[in-house]
Amino acid sequence: MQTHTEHEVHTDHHVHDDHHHDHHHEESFITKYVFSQDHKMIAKQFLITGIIWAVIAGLMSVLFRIQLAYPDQTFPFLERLFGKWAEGGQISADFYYQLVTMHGTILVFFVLTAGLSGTFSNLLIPLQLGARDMASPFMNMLSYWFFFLSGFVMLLSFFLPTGAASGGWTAYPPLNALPWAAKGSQAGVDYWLISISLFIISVLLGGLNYISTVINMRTKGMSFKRMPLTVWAFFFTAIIGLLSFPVLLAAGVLMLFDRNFGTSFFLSDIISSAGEVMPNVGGNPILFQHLFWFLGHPEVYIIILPAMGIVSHILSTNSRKPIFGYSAMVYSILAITIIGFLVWAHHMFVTGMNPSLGVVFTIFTLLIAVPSAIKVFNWLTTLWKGNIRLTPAMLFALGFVSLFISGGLTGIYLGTNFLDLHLHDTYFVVAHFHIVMGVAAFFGTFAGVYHWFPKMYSRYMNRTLGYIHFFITFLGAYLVFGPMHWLGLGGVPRRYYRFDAFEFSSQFDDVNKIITIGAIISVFAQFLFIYNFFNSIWRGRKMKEKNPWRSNSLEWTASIEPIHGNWPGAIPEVHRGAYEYGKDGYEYMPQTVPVGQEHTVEQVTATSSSTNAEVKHVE
Amino acid sequence: MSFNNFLIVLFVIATIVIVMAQIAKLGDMITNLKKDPEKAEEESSTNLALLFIVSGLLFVGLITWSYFNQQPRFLPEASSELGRDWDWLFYIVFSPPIVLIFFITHALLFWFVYKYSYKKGRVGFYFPESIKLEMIWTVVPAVVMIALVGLGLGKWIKATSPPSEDAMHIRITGMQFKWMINYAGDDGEFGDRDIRKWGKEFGIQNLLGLDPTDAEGYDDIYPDEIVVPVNQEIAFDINALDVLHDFYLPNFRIKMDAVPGVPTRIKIKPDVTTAQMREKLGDPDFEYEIACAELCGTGHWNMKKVLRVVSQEEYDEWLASQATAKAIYYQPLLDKLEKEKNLAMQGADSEETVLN
Repeated sequence: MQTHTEHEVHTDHHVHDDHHHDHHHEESFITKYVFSQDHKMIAKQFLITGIIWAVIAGLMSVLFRIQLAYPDQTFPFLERLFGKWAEGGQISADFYYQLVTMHGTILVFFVLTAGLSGTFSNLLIPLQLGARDMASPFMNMLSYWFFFLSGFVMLLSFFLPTGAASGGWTAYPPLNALPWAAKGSQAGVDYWLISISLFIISVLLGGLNYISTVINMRTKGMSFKRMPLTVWAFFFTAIIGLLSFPVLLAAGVLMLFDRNFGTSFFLSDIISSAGEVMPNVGGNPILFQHLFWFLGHPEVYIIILPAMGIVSHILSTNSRKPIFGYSAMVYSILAITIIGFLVWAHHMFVTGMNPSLGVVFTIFTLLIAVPSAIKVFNWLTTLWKGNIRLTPAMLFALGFVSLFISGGLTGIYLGTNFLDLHLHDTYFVVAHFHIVMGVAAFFGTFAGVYHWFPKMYSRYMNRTLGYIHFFITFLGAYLVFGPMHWLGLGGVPRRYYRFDAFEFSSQFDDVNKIITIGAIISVFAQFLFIYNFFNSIWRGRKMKEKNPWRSNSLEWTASIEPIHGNWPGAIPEVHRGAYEYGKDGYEYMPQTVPVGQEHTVEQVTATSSSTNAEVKHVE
Repeated sequence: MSFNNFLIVLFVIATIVIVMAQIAKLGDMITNLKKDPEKAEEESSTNLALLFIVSGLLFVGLITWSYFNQQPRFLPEASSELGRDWDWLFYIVFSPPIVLIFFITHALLFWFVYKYSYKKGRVGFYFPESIKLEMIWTVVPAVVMIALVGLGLGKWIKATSPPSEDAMHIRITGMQFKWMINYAGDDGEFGDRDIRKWGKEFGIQNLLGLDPTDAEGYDDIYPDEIVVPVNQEIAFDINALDVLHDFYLPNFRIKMDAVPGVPTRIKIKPDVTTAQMREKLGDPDFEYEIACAELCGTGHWNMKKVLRVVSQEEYDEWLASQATAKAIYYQPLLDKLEKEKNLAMQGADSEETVLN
């Protein structure tokens, strides 16, 4: 497909060549693959590290689901694998709580923050904006290596004699502040806090970079209003991260002080298990929750906004239609960003905080449903009268929409303070957030990987395997998290090691078995993806055309083989918005095509460009 | 499952993955062999759209079916006005619009994908914006949300307002991994507690920090179960000694955290006795259960108490049969205090002698 833009690039090649020398240099293995400063390589590092963490956390969920479905059966292989933590072939309560805690921590922070935002912000911001790299490639590299270090510390904590942290991913004090309160609250929590602190440094380095790149490094013609929605989403995500993560860092440092240096920020009037009155006076455990959720709630938008951006972009590209209501999509992200900072205490309706405060937080929480609704309806309208190409990426994007609807709607119940009195900390909550931010964000990630894999590795992933992966995961996700709503309505509290201590929670044995079987199938179905991913890196079908999805955005004008600096010649210039699909009868129109040069773009439609005017009339 | 079986299972899973991968490879190869990639895209999109609709019907159908299948196992109708308000707000107010939106949006999603699946040569309809449409789905959800907030607000205020004057207070203290229950006794006054002073003084002997000099506590009772008369407003004054707990009464649709150092409170007014509930459910073993709903450590899943709702006569009878705290808790503390005082006096005496 010889387009006008390519032609332009070629003629300008020698003129602009002196602007850019990087790709002439030979790079060593270390600078290319390990301490790389190329945003595309860093994106791959984030992605692959994220995949490894996702496998670990996914297998953890299989383990604790086995415990919940078969609390009375023994599985000798567990003892063989985990020794004292699974004596007699049964997962111990301590181990169970470690698994649950680590599952949450790893997925929320390492996989869905670093793995999702780190991968796609890095890959797409420079490519879609027409920049040769990030504003600070060195900081970008540091961002990955702080993430790596943070993961390393977390991994070490698994092998402590007292085990990893076991007080939940929210690390509430006093349970996590008092070493005698649980086995995992000994060294495990210190490791957890140090790991998360390192992680926050990584997020901040990355976020600063994303923001300055978006503001400063857009190519000529790439006004804010022409940016793809992916970049808008990454931009706001980075802003949220920059404003909220430092608060968690503060909370974590205060907790480290409480644990190790005898301060009383979160502790007061406590009697140890040995009957000893602790000297701490005047602290308040609820204060930590305020600090934690001031990050914790925006954190769910840090997770979901990039997925939304990716999904918007893929839905439009594969519907062959402009995204419906581009500005509304941007403003709704802005609205979510702002309101997202004002809803944190809806996690705390039952902590005894002032009921009037509960009213304010309910109002803001339900208010956030409005921009969410706008997004959903705009996605649906984007599909309407499109020409929908069902690539694996598109299917995952559609799955995301379904999951976001389902999980978003249950959020309306939970955001209402009065209804939260019963539903708080039950399986209803577990179902809600797994669907709306867990699985949905995963679907966004999968969509992104299937869509941009050719950009990363110049090869295609296997489509058929992608389809199998999609249908198993889509149905599996609902099989696992659908029935959990019923458990929650039945009052079953979350974070229970077994359900038979209470009459009201012991009635769902068969449901728990179904959930566990669903979870095992869903987790192992991910190995189809992993096999597909790694196999395709080396053995996938080679990419021969630059723009396989006939997309408008800039990343597909870069060279097929990823090179340092992205464009061998001059940086492309932008003349139009990112979503001109179907305009004036043209099936698509890359952003680089100047106004008046539309006819130079070869279209795949049966109608030739000369008859496009007629097509337009017919429409 | 033994270790060998586990290895076999892993092997089987790996085999399935590899077999699927090979089939998939073949599938892609066949598609790529087709001469007209656009036509191939059209075919595969049509088939996948059908499959997508089927999977949509499957999951929406299964969820609907499983709701009706599981519904009988949910908690029975709440046993207090607050609880019934909850049921009303959840089932009657919130669920109809939410379920409706769920079905409509999903119907549109699956229908559009099928209806507009890829056709060779078709150009997507250029429809980038419609202020009118967008206004509709900004304003309508906003109005619905405001209505929902409004309807929930009154109930929340009612649930969280301070208990009335004639409410019966029960002190609940959470600790790993049990609940301590404290009634005020005949005088209606609780004995003072001060962990910093009296807890320190007596250590493990006085975890609650009871003040042995406060006679108001002598008639308090510390029973194993919570027994309350029906139709009496109960205020639970909640506290914790070590970590966070959460006092959860599923049958009354309410819970509240127990926080060390920060007192919290909820109120309930049960209007169905345990005996009535047993009869209603046909379950002679039914009890109102109290669970912990905030992760508090290894035994979190097993912090159980029973709340028994009885008639006023039964309650009076039960209350009369309970031993007061004087003998159980206070006397040992008083004895110890006395002993220490004597020791101190002796010490002072001997000191005086030395000085002289």
